[in-house]
Amino acid sequence: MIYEASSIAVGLFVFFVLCVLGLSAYFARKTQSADAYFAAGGKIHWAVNGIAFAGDYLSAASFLGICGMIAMVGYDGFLYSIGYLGGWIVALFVVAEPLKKLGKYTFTDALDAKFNSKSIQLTAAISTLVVSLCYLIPQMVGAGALVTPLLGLPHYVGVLMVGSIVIFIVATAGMASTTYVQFLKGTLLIIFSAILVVLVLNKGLSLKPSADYHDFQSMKAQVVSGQVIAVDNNNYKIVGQKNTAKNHFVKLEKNGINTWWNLTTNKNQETVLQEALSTTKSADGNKLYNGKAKADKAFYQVGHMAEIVDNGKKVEKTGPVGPFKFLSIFTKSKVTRFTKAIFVDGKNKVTVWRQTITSGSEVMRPGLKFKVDKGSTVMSKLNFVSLMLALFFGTAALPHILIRYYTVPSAKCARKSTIVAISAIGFFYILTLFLGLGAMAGGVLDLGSSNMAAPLLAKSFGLILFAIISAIAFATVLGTVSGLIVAASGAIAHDLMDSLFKIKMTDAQKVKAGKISAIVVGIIAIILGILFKGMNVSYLVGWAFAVAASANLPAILMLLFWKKTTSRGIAASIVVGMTSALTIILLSPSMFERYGFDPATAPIALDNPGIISIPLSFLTLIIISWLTPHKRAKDILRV
Amino acid sequence: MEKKKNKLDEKAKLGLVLFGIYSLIYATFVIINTLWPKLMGKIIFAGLNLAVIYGFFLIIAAIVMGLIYNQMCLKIEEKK
Repeated sequence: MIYEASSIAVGLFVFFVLCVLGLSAYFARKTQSADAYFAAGGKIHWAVNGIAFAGDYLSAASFLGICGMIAMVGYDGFLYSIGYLGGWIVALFVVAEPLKKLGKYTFTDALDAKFNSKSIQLTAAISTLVVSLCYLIPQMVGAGALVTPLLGLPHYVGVLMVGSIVIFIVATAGMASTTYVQFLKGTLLIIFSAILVVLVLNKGLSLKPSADYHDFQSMKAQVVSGQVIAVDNNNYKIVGQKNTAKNHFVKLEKNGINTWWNLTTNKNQETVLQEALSTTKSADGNKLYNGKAKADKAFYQVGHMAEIVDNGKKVEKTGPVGPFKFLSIFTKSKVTRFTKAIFVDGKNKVTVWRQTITSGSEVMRPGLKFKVDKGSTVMSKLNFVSLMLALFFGTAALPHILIRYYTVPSAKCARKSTIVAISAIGFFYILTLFLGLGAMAGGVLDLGSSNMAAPLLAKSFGLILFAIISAIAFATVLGTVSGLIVAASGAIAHDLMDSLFKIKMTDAQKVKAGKISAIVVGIIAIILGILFKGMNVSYLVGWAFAVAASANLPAILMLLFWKKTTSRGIAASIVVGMTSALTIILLSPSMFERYGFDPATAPIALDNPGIISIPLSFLTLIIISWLTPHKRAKDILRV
Repeated sequence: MEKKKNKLDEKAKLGLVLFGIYSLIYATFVIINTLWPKLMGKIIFAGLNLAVIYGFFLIIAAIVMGLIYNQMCLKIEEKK
């Protein structure tokens, strides 16, 4: 669809950026020591730190990605919310306090606290950089993708803009300014998401979500031997048909415009052609939307209820409803989803989204995305378990999250701030279910970009809310990228230059090294963000979780709870966890599909590596520690 | 003395117990989703199915267990 730049959105974004830059300049004067730069002097209040945790953690993947996924596949998208939140339990009950006690600036500090081992310093720093980069790329690509539709600027301008602002935030005042940017963003995100949910519930559900919602057409069709030979509408001419494994699509021409229709049966069991949405990409790169140029705005927004059942009766609309009533009605009703099919028509690549009426009970339970029900195999179920495992164990091993434990004064504050974070993030994740379902049935979906579900849902309630939510979406990227750059610059300046290579630096020089590292990492992030333009890189966030869960968490847990853990055991487990997770991902069916090969020929049938790489990393640590018993971690959590 | 040294810190022990409880609840959720996905569609209460109730429960349980953990840790810290 076509997006028009909103001057209010631009104004709000500029206002937010000015606030952020002013804040950074204010804190710059106070950031003179390494402690102030890498850990905000350890003086952040636990409540502020808790919300900053939420601001750091709720990245574009959470806000835009999860809402969009729920809008397209229902409950399966919400499973990400549950998994991401569950991971915080590991952080709170197992990691928070000990990590605060052991470390100084980085996650490597904590791992190496009892050993002073070169191998731990090197492997943990590399792991931090790999995880941070996997996380950075989708954020930067997301920044460009947001700027293009909302501000009317090219992708590279968006990436450059976000990259430059973030470099300024981090290079001026490091963790202090980053903390307050994340605090602001976390607060705004939660408040305005809650407002949006209230508006969704107040609107309720309706068969026609808005007065100008597209009126879908259908016409009777005559079929002989699987081919449509006539339609019950003289205005249309049959010009082509494409049969895929599951569906029959017919190309009709009217007034020189070609559109695609799906062959199906209606509720009276008559054979009909049903209007679908389509994009057609020609060999010369020209793209048509429902047969017309992009500027003609023919690619309308969709998503509506097919049948609403309230108190056992079919109704046209519900009116305002409470949160439980909303979910209950949704479960008993039917919704029209739009499922995608891709095929080649002559020299053109065609993507068709056909109407698929799905019962609410199917939408509200697992199975539409994850193959655990219809058409499932042992491997598809293992894939699902593996993903849920990585989400659960990944959070507490993400370096940019772990460094936030050093910004508070004590272990007690680290614990309290984690509880604030869990409450804020948990509340937000509950909201995602209502936002996603509201978008699914609210006639707001842009089928070309499911990530825009939440901002477009806001737009259906007015331009001001849309502008605010869009500005928050930008802020979401700023907050998370700042945290990632602080983590990566810490790994370079503190773990590698200071600890590993023992480069002699004064406190001021350490700050300078941190700032230069932040600028370098920021520039690399900008370049990668531009290079990866147009690629769906959301899977990289999954990589980050899988690598973090496999490389970092076994090392942290065993260091804390197994006194026979040795430095070589830790280093080996990081290397094995990281390489095995990355190898499985690179040889997985979904990656083979991206390489252009047949996914069935992939040597490893798993897409999510956690179920293999996490136990492998634990096993490596145990075996190597048994074989190298000379330097053990002792008495870390013992009295 | 040696025996005392080998005892895990009281707060760490408490954290491990609560982590074990939550892990069990989470694992059960994943197992039901994997093996009996249709069971998750069963209406349990107020028109809500098991999937929604269990999902919300996991999120709210994390918050409640966090608060309980904090209270118990505060008591342990006061004792010291």
